[in-house]
Amino acid sequence: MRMADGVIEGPTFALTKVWTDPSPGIGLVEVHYVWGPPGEPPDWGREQTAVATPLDPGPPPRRAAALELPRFVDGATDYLLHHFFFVAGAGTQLSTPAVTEQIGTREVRYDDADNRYTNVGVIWTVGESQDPNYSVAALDGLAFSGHDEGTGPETFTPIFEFVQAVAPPHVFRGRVWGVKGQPVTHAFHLVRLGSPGGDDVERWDDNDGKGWQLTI
Amino acid sequence: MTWYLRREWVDQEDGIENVMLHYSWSLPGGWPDWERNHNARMLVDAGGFPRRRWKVIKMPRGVYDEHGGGWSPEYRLHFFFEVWQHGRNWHTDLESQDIVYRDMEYVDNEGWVTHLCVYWSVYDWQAPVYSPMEDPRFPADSEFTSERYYAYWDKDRYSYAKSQMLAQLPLPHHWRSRIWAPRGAPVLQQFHIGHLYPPEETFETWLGPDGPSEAGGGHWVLHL
Repeated sequence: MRMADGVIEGPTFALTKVWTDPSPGIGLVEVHYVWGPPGEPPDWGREQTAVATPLDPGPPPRRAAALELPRFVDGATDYLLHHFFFVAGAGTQLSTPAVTEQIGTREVRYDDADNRYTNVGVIWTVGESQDPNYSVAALDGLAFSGHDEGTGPETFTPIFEFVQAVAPPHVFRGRVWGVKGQPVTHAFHLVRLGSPGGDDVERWDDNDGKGWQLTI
Repeated sequence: MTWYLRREWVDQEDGIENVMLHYSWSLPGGWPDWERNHNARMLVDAGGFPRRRWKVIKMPRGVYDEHGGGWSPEYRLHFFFEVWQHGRNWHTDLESQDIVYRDMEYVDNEGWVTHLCVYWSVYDWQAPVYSPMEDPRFPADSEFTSERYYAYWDKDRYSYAKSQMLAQLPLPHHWRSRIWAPRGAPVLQQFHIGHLYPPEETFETWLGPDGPSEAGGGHWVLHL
């Protein structure tokens, strides 16, 4: 049963679409988008919309719209995203041809050589987007250490003793989502919680601010 | 059509590394059920001093009323921020806002309008929404409903057919749509109004209290 009407139930991620005005006088740019299983055409009756707002004044002006997308469609991480731009102003209204892209995931891995952390998260952005997403990484050998789609309070459950019981080396694996063939930038959120020595710690390992890049 | 709401955070102290917004919805007067409905979004770091962070969240048209057995268009938004600072994390207090709606109407006495949207945004123009309007007498199963316009690739054919069908409706035409906002919050609003048939008369504008304007120009300020 759906609880909220019109929004995605379950985990999501943000994907930004950028538009450059080809001529002056444009008053409205809107992204229309819909997703579905591989091999099926778009059902525009279920479309979502996002208005593109000014990104920089240019010239030419650029606008950006953040699309909110599910991490799972019918339980699968691979699916199709269809989108087009609707543009109005300057005496015309038009919809650009629809573009179809493949959404997929990549695994990211954190090796905790010193067995120091109880929880590891992955913070990531897709393409040029500044809109960050978050995934929980699971520790190999500890099935209940987290869910890769989780972003809730379970993220920081102190499970120090359980983690210490896992034979080293400790390897955490998480997933990031994006458009196939396009880059994703990610960093790690490292947490040590519930330590009996009281030396809990939390830090962000972002490769000196640059993050790490991979291609979906 | 859903709508959007911008949440903003301003760093009040040094050492804040990241901020996450946690939010949920309930029926009016209800408490959040975090087990059933828990959304979390990392805020975008916009920089500056003091550092500002924000996120535009997608909002529902209603929540399900299990006792009443239907969708409630009014509901309650619950949210708090989780802050990572100096190697620790802490939470702000839970805040709640009543989300209420208003049915908007534009009366076209002459039958001149062929396309119409409410253009609106809560607080400022940074999370805008276009809500297509329709006369409730217009057949909902038609391929020429306002919501089907955008994915209708032959815009000229659509505009011709829409104008012909509208001409069959007795005047005045009552174009309607719905908007939502936190109770008491300012809603900036214009009408994006179009006369797109016949082609030689094509005209569109963003209408505010002082007449035609550009998008985000002269606008009404509503409080729901």
